[in-house]
Amino acid sequence: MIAMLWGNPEFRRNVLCEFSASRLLVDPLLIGLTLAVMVSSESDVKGIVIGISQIGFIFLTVIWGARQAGKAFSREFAEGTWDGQRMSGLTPWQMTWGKLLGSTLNAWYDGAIMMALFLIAVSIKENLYIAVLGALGWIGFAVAIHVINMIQILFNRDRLVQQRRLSSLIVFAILLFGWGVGSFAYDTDVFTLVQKIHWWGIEFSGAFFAVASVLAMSAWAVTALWQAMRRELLERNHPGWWLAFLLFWLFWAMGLLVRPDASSKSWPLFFLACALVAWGSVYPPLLISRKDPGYWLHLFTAWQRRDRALLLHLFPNWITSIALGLILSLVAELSATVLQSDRSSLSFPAMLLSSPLVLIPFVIRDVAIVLWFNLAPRAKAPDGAALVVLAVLYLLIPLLLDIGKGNPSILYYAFIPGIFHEHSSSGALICGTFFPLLQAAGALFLLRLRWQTHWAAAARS
Amino acid sequence: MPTVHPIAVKVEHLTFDYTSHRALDDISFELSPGSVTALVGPNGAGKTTLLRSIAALDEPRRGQIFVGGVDVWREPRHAHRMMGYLPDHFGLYQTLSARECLFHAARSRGLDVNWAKQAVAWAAERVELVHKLDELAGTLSRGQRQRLALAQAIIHRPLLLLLDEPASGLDPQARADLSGLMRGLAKQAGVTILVSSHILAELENYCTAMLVLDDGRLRTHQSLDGGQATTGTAEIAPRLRQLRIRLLEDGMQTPRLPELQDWAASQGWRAWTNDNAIIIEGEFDDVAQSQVLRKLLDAHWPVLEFSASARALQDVYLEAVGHKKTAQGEHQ
Repeated sequence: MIAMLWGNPEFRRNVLCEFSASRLLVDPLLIGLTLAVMVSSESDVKGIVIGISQIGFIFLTVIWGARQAGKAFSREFAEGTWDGQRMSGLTPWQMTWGKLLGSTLNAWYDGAIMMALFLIAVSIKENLYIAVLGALGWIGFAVAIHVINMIQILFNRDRLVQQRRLSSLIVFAILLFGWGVGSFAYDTDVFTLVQKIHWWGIEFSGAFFAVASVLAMSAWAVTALWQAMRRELLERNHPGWWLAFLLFWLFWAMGLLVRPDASSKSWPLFFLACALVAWGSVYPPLLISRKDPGYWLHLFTAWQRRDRALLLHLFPNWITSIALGLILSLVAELSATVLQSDRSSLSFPAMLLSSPLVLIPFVIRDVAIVLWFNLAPRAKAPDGAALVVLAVLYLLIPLLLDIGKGNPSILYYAFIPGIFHEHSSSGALICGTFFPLLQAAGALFLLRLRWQTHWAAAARS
Repeated sequence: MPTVHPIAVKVEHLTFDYTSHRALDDISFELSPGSVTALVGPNGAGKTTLLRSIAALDEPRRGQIFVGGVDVWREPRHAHRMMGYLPDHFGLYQTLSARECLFHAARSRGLDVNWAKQAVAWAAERVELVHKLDELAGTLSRGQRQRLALAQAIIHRPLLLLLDEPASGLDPQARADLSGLMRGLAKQAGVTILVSSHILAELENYCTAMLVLDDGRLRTHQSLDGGQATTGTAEIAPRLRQLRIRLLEDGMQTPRLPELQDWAASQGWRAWTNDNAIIIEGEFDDVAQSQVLRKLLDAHWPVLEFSASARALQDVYLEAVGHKKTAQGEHQ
């Protein structure tokens, strides 16, 4: 095991650069002293050990480890060593785990102490099974946070170092808010609160399901880092990975919706939920991935050359999401038509508005808006500008049309997809179907105009 | 024993676009194995973009690049095994010793532990850093850091070495050492070197060819060692040489110089007078020089001095990039 770890040059280098031998002695001493002080003033020794071990894990392993993991990249960029790494013979997988584990070894050393305390205390208070599940959950969570910080630094490498630190802090704050703060006043009952969970009709203990989900999340996070590393090390990626990720989480989430006693009539609702999730999955890759003119010109050239591998490598993940959304919407619509007999009494516009297909013009409009900003000749923060416009379209205008009115203006229905509101009047039905199409057509026209004006000549040259 | 491909680097119709401008426009050239080529041009000419494209770090929009016969953008990882790259703003792991830096470079290039140790010794000897191996990279002087970075780039004994402004920030002694190092790598290790620099006088010491880039276009590919086009189908302009001819003074030398100038022109050579001598410029290799001298003697010119010198790199460069400025001036 040690030979295998040490045999990875990237792990070895990270350890040599980051690992501090003095902490091997100092950290256990500090942890021991803190524990002694806390235990001396409390009667519930097991409870205080469980609490401290988790708080310590959050600060020393999750937060400090994420910082160290992020530094594994930010230092390479700042000190100009990343080009050399990209030209090395290391495989993307060696680079992934070498950086992930090598840069966080100190944090994991502290984490091992904390988890040992946690295992002992929870085993005594509850049982070993709960203790092991809890420890696995924490470890999976820490790995996921480390990876997420590494990925976001990798994605933001062209920005200033200060901005990277700031965005890193924001990600931390968001992610830790839900989990870390909630665990601050940890009680082992958390794992027994949800006694049973039905997933695809199979019964699981709540603790087991939660920990398995966290581990799955961290496995996907590591896969995402590996994919990012493949890209950096000039290996071609395949859009199938994004599709697999979407399908996995759809499978996971939908398993929670399926009840053991579910009838066939609930299938349309099930597919509707799947379609909504798929449409929602368009937005994260749309906003995160590259969309600048250079990228599109590159994609255009790959298309002209019929370079299939490069095309697949450059293929935008949000298009995969759109395709999946479209398929699932059609399936939901078909299943509703076949299984829900009361639908036949609806008019065509009403039927359309209650279908996930109504989301298509909205998504097309939103994609066109985001791309329009990104194709500006001197675009500055184009995604931020696009988000402001989308916020106006989805929030401010509908609020303006709805505020203080018992019956909102029919124009309201032009800005909120029909599937999310009730629509009784014929005016609302027309607005809900016609205006979104008009908006999508307008956005596409503007997008085409911008492409033709600024980039079409470059694409042909 | 790996076979050496007859063409070390082949670039075909390379085009690279940034969002705001075209950085490289339809560049094509070839480099022969063991050659040392200076890549020169004004700031913003596209030198770094060209080097990074060849190093498979920034993907061009169009065109192909072959290193040792391997398509760099189809098999980038294979190509990386054959090349080393020293960027303008190179980085070192400051908290590692020079030995650890080199050992990491060797191991990450796929060398096993024993080979890596040997490679560390070889590379350190090449760059004359053997006595500094146990010092931290962060404590080395600028010149020593440059040599350490260079040692990292050559540790896997690449066929092609790409150097981006390697002499910038170095003192005269360190620059002279670097020149010697280049010569050694090309001659002894047979490495093909493409080096970008603004210091033309030093490039002249060790370069065998020169590529002039300007505004993303290749202005000239000039041989500097008197050789003719030697690689594949690509044409390399031979370097022009200047022959200085002085005639025996017999009281009427000055009146005879214009006569000699006319005679040289009648031979099809470009000639002018300079400091009581005639300068003839042309593609004169050793054989051609001998023929010129023979013609002079056959025509009974009283030749007192006959010497040949290569045209200064500076002149070649200015002429290549000057075309554009002249054209721009005329246009205005």
